[in-house]
Amino acid sequence: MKNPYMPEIAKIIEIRDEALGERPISTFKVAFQNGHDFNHQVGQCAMIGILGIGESMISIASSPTKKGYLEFSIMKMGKVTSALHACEAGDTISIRGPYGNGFPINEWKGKNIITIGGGIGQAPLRPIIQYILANRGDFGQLDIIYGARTSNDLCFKDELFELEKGKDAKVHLSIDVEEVEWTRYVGFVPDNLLKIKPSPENTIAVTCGPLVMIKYVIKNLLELGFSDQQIFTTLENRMKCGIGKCGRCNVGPIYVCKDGPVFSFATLKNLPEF
Amino acid sequence: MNIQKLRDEAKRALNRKEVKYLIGYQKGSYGFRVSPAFIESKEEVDRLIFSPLCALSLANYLMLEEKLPQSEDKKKAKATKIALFARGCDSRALNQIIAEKGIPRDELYIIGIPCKGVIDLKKIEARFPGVVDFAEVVEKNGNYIVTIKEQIFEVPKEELVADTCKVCQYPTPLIYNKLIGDNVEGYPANYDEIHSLEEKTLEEKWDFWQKEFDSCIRCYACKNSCPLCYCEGCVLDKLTPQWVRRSVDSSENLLFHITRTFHLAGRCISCGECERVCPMDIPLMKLNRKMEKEVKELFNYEAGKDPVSQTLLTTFNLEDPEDFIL
Amino acid sequence: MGFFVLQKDKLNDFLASLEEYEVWAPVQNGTTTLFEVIKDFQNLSLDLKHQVLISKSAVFPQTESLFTFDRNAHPQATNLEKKKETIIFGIRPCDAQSFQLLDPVFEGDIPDPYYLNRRNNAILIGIACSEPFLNCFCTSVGGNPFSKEPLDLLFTELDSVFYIEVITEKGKKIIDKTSTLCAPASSDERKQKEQMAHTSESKIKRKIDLNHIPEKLTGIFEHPIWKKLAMKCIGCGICTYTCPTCYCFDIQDETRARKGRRVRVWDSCMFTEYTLHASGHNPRPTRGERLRNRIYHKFKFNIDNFGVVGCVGCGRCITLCPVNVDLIENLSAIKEVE
Repeated sequence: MKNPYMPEIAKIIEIRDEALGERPISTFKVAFQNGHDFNHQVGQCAMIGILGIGESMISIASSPTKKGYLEFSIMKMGKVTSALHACEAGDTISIRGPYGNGFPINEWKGKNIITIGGGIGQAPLRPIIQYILANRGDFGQLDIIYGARTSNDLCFKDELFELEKGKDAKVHLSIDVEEVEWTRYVGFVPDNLLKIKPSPENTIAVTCGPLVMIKYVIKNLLELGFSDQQIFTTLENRMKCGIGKCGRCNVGPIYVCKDGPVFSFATLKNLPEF
Repeated sequence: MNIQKLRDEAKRALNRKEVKYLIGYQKGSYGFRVSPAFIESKEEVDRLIFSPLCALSLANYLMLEEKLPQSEDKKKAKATKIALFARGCDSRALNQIIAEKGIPRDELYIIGIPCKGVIDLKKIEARFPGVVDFAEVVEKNGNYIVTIKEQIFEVPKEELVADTCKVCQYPTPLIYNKLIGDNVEGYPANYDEIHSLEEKTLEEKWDFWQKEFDSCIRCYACKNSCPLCYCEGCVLDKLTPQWVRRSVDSSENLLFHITRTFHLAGRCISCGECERVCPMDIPLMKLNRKMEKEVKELFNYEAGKDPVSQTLLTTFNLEDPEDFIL
Repeated sequence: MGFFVLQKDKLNDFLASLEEYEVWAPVQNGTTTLFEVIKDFQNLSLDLKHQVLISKSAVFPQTESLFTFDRNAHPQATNLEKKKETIIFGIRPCDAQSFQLLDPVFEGDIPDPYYLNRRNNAILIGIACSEPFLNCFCTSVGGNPFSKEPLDLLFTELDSVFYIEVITEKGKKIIDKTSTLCAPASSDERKQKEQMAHTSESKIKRKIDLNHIPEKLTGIFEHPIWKKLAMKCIGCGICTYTCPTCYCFDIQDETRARKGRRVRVWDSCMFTEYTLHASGHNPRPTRGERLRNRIYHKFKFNIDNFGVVGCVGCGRCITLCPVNVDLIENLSAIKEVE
């Protein structure tokens, strides 16, 4: 019997700072040591940790189309994430996974996709974008709506500015408060969404970010005419085992680690504690 | 102690605009159990009881985080006080909490009840096993009169009273807004019950406690039922840094209990709740009483005597034997 | 499969003769009864009334080392190969039912080798409940003081003998190994046992009809009753730690210099920190939400996920709760809610 609690060891190849400040965010590029591969799906997560400190469930921020490595964008928050932030390239970490249900990306082929992210919430949406770009012909229009508190808090800036210039996607960035050199939208992401007014015709909307933002984005999407089945989000909760046994992440009858973290709004609205 | 007088006083307390709600005792859900009662309106005061079965410390509820939702008219009147019953030990807990600035005195309306001792639930359930029907107990002439359905039994008080009550020095509340009942004399200070443990050699003491703490399941009932354990970020729960591991073994268990005892030095008022609630019957009061005795001998200090005195381990006097806090 | 009897004073010999097994049994510990690997058979205790630590500890210990590690080396999994088969003796029928509730949790898509290794290697010997305790309500949750699933042998204490019912092949093996001590049961003894089973069920004093609870619960998630029911609760872990069907756990790393281990320990959903996120957000900040979650988990979600109510009616949570939070009283209150 495979032991699901035993982690694999991976090496950190590169650490890229995304957002600095009190709660810094860095993207960690890691590769397995012994040729082990993950074969994960878009939207799945993994239990990352440091032996001796602990583990945290983090979404895999890179698509399975990127071979040979995995990327995780981690915000420094508590014991484990602080220890990860203290690591350097060359250090080893423990990984268990992949866990969770992933986005039903195959069912989305032929449709238009809108990703709506806030702050670090863009990380679980990034693999969707990467997957679509790698299989561009299979999908319709791609709109990336993303905002953060300040321009310093925006993640994946280089990639997004690059995409903005090209034709593969429409990028709508925003920040909450005015800044001197910012010429794009200023305001909250749900308001930006209303301003952009995307059509629900043959479209799937996926959102992730602070809980309050998710609630407003969903409200606005419904107003714009999106149905429950067209709206997806990915949630988080305090997790420990990652395999639906320790009971911690349960919301109603489901476990976020096992039956989620991806949920359509149709499922979500029936869950009691949401 | 006249129960009607108590209920009338409760009614008067609830009538006051500034009282949010009252914490008292009510009949439990079966047999000899007693449950805490949270009463918002004076119509409910007939639920309140007081008998030798009332073994809970109501002072514990003050420092638990959430409060009852208030009825609309109390909200308008900006109710700020909580009324509660307090026996001798409870009143000392309140004094200590107020002295530590845990809760302001003017947020409390204390109905003091001099207490003649409470019954140890384990003892009475052993004496009368299998009683599901509601039972009542009154004290009369040194005996407990136990009524179960229509049958009446008389049991000497000695057999059923809680061990902690046998050495209680302050059965009459030391702080109250209103006192219901006659003064009860306390016993003189007496630490005989820990004598046999004190007499043991160091190895014997170690073996004794090792064995006891081997059965501890770290349910934290002792910590949660203690009226004086109300630190919001309890050091024994902290993860960064982690002082006590979550793994359950003799070493960590010992660390947990000894640390807790030290944190209660000069604060524990010997209500005995920790020992009462322990599902593994660990004699926790032995630790606390020893600490109480040491504190008395070393510092001539007793916890909870009044709500204004400086607390023991947070004060430094020039006359102290050491010249620094360490 | 066979019915046997064992002279009561030969019980210690019976267990001692099974030395090739690791025998777990209820053991006297002052005024309470623990459940552990029995070393000294003089301490064997059938005082199941005060049994606080229960048979679930034999398959799901409170502290379990998952693996050890050294700073720069690969983690070493705990050796799960059991050297001896295990016998778990003295299981109350309600606690036996709990194995059936714990099994699907630890099996499923991702099986848990730590639990399953112990569970599959264990032979379960139960003791029938001839005198149900004060707060027993097994009959209200589909149980019975003499129920047999999933035991391998069921002992019933008669006047001078234990009446033994062989339920499975595993159980038969044990009787074969102790054949010198056991004798076939007479039809009189069999009748005695059936009579006892009958009267025992009628001795259960606390009952509640749980028929429409799941539907009721569906509608009252936001009801103010939860806050009211939880006012007494002091947030300790007694109910969860003594519950045969609770299985929530925490995983922590422990280190000493450059070595360490990862352990799994029991956790309780009644603790405030249980759902506390590193960001400070807590989806269940008050006792009301936590009590609500516990009741929903056992009486609704378990039914949604596994088809059975997640409670075996042992009554320990009611007896041991320091402040008289009474599950039966709470369920009755829920039934009354509009």
